[in-house]
Amino acid sequence: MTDAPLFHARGLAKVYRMGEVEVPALRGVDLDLYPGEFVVILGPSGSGKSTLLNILGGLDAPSAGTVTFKDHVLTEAGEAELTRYRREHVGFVFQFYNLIPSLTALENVSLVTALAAESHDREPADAADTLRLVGLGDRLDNFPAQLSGGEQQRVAIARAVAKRPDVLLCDEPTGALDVETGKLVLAALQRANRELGTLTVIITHNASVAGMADRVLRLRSGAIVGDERNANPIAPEALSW
Amino acid sequence: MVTRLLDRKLRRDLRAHLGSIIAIAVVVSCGVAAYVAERSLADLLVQAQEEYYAQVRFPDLFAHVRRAPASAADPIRALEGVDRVETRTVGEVVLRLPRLREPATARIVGTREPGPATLNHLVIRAGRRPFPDERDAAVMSEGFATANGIAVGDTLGAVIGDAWRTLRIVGIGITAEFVYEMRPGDMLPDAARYGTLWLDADVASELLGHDGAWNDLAVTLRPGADTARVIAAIDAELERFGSLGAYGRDRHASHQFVTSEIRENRTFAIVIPAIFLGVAAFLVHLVLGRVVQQQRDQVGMLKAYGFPSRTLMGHYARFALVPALAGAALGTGLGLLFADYLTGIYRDFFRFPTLEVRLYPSAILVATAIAVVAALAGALDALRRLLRLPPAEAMRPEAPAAYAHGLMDRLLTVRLRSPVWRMVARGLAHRPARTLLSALGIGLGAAVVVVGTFGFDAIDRMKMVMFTLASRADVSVVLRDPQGAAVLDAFATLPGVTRVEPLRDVAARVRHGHRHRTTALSGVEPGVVLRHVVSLDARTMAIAPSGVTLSASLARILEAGVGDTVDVEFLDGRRRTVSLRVAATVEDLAGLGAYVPAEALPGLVGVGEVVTGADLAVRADSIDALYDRLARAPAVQSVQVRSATRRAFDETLRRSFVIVLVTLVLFAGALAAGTAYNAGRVTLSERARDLASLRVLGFTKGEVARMLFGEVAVLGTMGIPVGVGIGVLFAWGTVHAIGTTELFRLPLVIGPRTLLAGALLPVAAGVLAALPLRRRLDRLDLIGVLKTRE
Repeated sequence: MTDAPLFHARGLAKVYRMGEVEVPALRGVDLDLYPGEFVVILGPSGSGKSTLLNILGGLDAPSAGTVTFKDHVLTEAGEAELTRYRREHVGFVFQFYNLIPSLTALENVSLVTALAAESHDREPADAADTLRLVGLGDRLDNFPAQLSGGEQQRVAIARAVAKRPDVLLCDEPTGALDVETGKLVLAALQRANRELGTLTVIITHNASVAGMADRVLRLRSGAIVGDERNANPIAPEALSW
Repeated sequence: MVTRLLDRKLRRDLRAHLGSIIAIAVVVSCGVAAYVAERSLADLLVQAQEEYYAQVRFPDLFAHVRRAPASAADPIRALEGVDRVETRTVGEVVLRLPRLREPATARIVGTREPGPATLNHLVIRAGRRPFPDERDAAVMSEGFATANGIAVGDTLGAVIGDAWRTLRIVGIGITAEFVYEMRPGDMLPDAARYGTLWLDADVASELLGHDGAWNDLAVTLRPGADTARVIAAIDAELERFGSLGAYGRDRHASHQFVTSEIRENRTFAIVIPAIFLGVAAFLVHLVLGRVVQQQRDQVGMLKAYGFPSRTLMGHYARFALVPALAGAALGTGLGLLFADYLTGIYRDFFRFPTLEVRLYPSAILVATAIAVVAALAGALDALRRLLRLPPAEAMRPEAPAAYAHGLMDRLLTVRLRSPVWRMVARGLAHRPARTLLSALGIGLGAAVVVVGTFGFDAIDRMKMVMFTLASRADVSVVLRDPQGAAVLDAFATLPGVTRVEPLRDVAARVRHGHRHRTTALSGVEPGVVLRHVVSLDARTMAIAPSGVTLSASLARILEAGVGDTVDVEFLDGRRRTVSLRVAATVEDLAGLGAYVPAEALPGLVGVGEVVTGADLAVRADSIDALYDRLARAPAVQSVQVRSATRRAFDETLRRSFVIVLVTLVLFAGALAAGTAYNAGRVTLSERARDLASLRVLGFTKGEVARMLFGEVAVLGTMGIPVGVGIGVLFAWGTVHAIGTTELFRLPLVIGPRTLLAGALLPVAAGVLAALPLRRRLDRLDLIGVLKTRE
């Protein structure tokens, strides 16, 4: 990778205070993430991977350390600036999809593309085209309650990528899905990564997902204990868990 | 132990929903306060009335004659069912009072030392009664004395009979006859310019020229007496003495006023609590429904552990009872404060020996009971759902709300391109009943404002009609006895008088079938400018050239329509009766008028010309000289000054109306704000996850706030026009229920000011309700939402 890193994190620490007890979630994480990478962050529950993702996504602030995104210092940004950062640069995919139940698949995606179009210097993708990209061309007008879990998650992926973000942050995107559906969702993520060149970060406790990554980071007890590049990522269809 | 733990859970749940609990409690408290205040005032007046009437022997029947000898009362004493009979002399005189520029009118009433045979006892508040045959001593009615700053020991002058006399005020008193003291024919009391002077009965009789005779009769009945038969018998006995007809308490002016106030209080004690507790029930339904839905998993767990459904229902029912009881307690306190304040206003208008608001435990108990019933009614649906919830089902998360394309959805979305507005529209359409009821709750705020403030428009119209259209005379004079046309020339020579128009009013009983009313038949002069018959909608009405024109109110009482024939029995000495065709009716503002063209009147009555008084236009610079002359003219019975009447009207309304208005507006605000807050709060709770997700996706705080408040704004936009419409209906109901009396008709006028106030108050209340919601919205947990499923 010769590009400048998109994220540049140094000395990230996070301590949660639960009453009188201090629970460290991250202890001194250094990390660079590059454009176009497909990164899987692996770790058991409590390893700090969600905290890391939240800090990268501008949802949480570290107790110590710095994170920069391009030339924005996220750790110095205020509430409004972080909102703007998420709006312009970040696509999120959640474990439970978090679609708006009263909006159709197309409308869920349009909601975000319309928002992006207001402030973006890039033209967002067409919402319907993006849904076709994730294989839902025939479900545009369905409400979330009329879609299966996998379909809902693919709508969520379409919603995340349609605004052409710089980074796609996915929190256990297959956590609520069965194996076959999970693979379809991962394929959709991979396709978005390949075709749009978006830095994609997936956090999961499912080690099998690591097989399809360009790069695998392992987290344990709030620290990075492994950073491997995968010379031959395999297709998601070939994964098994 | 178990109950203690559940109690702890209840306390925490209540704390978590503190805003909603407070909003519900405030709405409940308004309803309870209205009930406690109105019921207390009604009970207070009923009790004060009963005690006072018993204490002073308030008569059951009344009659007034021109003049009857002492012996004329004997046959009445002998009537079956009659208990006591008292005769006396009453009459009106014009007074000059030191602090009052205009002349006042006093009703002179003869009074006797209370004894076994006397009625209508005078209650002395200061000083003493006149001694028998004490010729210059008088007791003044309390309101009259207070308004004019007159105390025991003061003197005043008046023409009584045919001579100017000086009277010494030896006492201040009150009487059950004039609990509400008002000049006959007026619409509101004017304590400074009309009151009572009591003289020793024999002195009054002599001074008023009735020596040995009487003109006023009071009768009490034995229990079980046949009132109608006694009245008929009295009328038969007194007809030849110029009786205006005997009547019972139901037609006694002061009694009528107090009774109608009691009726109004009782009406309000039902209507206002019904509105507020109805809305409170809906709010409980909304909030508790949401709480139970959110706690499905907890309910399932508790059921799975073997908690009986009854325990759980009791637990959640208490969630509803807490705001109900808190509201009842707050409302009781507020209600007693209102009742106390309004009792203070009552004391200015209703002169009872004592008028102190008491604690009526039954009012408080009933108010609390209806608050509890309302809360439980609101909780019913949630409790039923709780009962039906199987434990396993309850522990599974609820499926996402199922939206689907229907006709409604197509209608809603065809015009809405923005996904944000589609969210709002679908959210509202998804629960139509809740949406409509929430809109209604907010709208009822507008309704309460409209019904509370339309009175100002109606009164403006009344003032316009009364003081600029119907009556334009600066001074109106009523003569003691009818006279010929020559008296008009005498009026014309009085100081400053620029125009004289005759009044020709002859007391008459108008009869249609078995229905009748005593009123005056007025002869209306062509071309007069100082007095007109004016309709409620401010049109000046012409009198039909033949036949009789009736006030529509009189026509309704008589059940007579245009084309019917009514009998008019003149109550002067000749007692002629003529039949007249009803040529027209007029929806007028006040009184029970009957009009014929002036030229027809002498022929009907059977005399030459009849002048019973005059309307005068007067130059301002000579007004004081005119007042002096009128006050010293024996022929003048009473004087009315338009500007003074108008001032008194304004003052009375200002004192009695404004506080009620302020209270209603505050109540309306609580209603609208309470509904808007809870509708918004429940929506926020249901949408918290969606809105937090949108915040994560980069929507700003302001943008998600607009989505939430967009819903509340749509509720308001739907509710306010409906509420204003309901307010107009309420106003119509008010006009018909309490604004239409024999004395006056409240016109149904609702001006732009009232409509605007009705529309704006819920908006202001909504903005107020939005503030705490906005704070809550700004604190949405963005991280938690990523990890949870609804």
